[in-house]
Order: sequence, then C-alpha cells, then structure tokens
Amino acid sequence: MSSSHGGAAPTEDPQAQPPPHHHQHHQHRRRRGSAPRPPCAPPGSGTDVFVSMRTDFRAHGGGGPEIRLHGLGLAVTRAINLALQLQAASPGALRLHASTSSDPPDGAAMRPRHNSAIHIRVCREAPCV
Amino acid sequence: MENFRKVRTSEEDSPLPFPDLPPGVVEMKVKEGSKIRNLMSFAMAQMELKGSRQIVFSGCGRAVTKTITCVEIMKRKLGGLHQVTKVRYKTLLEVWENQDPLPGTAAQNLTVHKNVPSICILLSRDPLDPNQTGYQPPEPREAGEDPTSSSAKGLKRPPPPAREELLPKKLQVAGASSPQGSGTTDSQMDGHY
Repeated sequence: MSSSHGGAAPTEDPQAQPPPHHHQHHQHRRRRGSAPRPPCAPPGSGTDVFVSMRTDFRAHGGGGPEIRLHGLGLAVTRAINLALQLQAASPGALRLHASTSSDPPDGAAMRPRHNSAIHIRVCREAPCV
Repeated sequence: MENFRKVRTSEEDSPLPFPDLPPGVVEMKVKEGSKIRNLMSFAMAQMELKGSRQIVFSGCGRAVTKTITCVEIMKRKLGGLHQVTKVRYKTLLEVWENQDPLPGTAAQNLTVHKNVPSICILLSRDPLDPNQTGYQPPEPREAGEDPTSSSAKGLKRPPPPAREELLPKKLQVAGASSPQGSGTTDSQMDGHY
C-alpha cells in the first residue's frame, strides 16, 4: 500500500480525484454511516428542533409560543417521545399537531428510497392552522 | 435484573383516538416485523377493490416508522386522501419472572408498565374536519402523475433495467475469469461512473 492511501492522513485534498473503485466504495460507506440529515424544508423560524438519534434526549430544548419538532427515519419515535413528554410536563396547556411526510433523498440515486418523517407542532392552546 | 426473565408482553386495549369513526373501518396494526408488502397488498385491496372509504394505520415503538412508511406509500399511490395523525403513549404490560427465588418461597413475578410512543393515522377519501388536531389535507397531484396506474397488483417495483452495475457479483467475477480478462470488466464498469 502506498503512503498516499494511509489512514493516518486527517484531511483529503478536495482537488484530488480518487480512482473510480475507491470513489464507489467511499460513496457506499458514506451512505451507510452518515447521520440522519434534517428535512429539506428550511426552518421558518428559530423554533425548529431537528431531533436526531445522536443528540442527548434532554438536550432537545426549545422556547417560544410554538415549536416544531422534526424527526426523520429512526428519530421519528424519539420526536414523538419528546413531544409527548412536553405535553405530559404541562398537562392541558399544550396541543400536538402532527403531520407526516416522506422526504425524497438527495442526489440521483438509481433506486430512490424515501425517508419517512414526522413534523410535530407543539402549540400552547388552539391547534395550529 | 439479571435474575429475571421476561415471560410475557401484552398491550392494554385502548380505543382508536378518532371520534365519529364509522363501524367496520379496517385497522392495520403494524408490528415491528410486519412486511410492508403484505400490509400494502391487503390495505390497497381494501381501498381499491372493496371500496373502503377510510382506513386506519396504527403502530407503536419501533413500528412507528413503518406505519408512516405505509401511509406515505398509500397516499402516493391513491392520491387525494385526507389524513389525521394522532400521537400518544401506549401502555405495555411486561411480566418478568424471578429465575432465582429464595428457597422455600414461590417464584415472584414482576409486572412492569411501560409507556411507548405510538401513532394512529386515519386516511379517508371523504373530507374530514380541517379544524381537528393533526389534520393534513391531500397533496395536490403533480402534472405528469397518472392516478390510474396504481392497483393492488402493481405494488411490486418494476424490474430494474439490466445494467451492468446491477448484475450480481458472481457474474462480474465470471466475466473476469472469461477469456477477455479482468481488464475488460474493469473498463466496462468504469464507463458507468
């Protein structure tokens, strides 16, 4: 193995084009190991919380009259859990407005796989419209 | 806890969180190990062949994602479906048996109440109350979409085109051992990337 392929190098030259085989394997590995990304819709305000599996559950904090929780893929259960915990912490004061979507994957994949997502709006009183 | 073994898990019966639901509505209880193909073939047959107007998908715990996936597939195939989503906790009762009881005493069982997140989604062809919590209107159809192409039989994905990157590895290896040599196979693959 040559020194240019050593695993100790922390950074890669963005100009360098890896050989096709390495590129293919790298894409495959990155797709499997990448973190769940936030949904495509841009956050409308500062009250959007993107729930992920790598964040501590108690660290998902938010404020304001309304927050929106977004959970993608495996983090859907976590987002529901967070919303229900919020509702249980303030009984009768919060209402949950849940909606689902399927997030199209980015990039031109041969066989596109949609990611299921949930978006929960946590409102103070009346349901959000 | 290492002396205990989980014996049984049961769910507490809870009514569906949709008032004014007509009787006889099909409820699809999605489990963690349910196959999406089986669920969708039954659900699509109910909605298309038997002419049901409403259907409910429910799932808890790790089945929540699969539940949403089924709903999204159905919305994409049928189109024009109104949706109401409810999230809540479902109580599971787990019975744990003591495997190492004290001598002279009977084995004691522990009953654990566990709250797991669950989701219930109502899909309806008929319009629903837009003011209720969790209502989601149907998405407008795209211009090139053909609503008549969906059918209960058409659930399977069309066979992928016979391109070389889809061929199984064995075939590629066989090609490498062919008289043309491995260099030919590599150059063919490189051409696609």
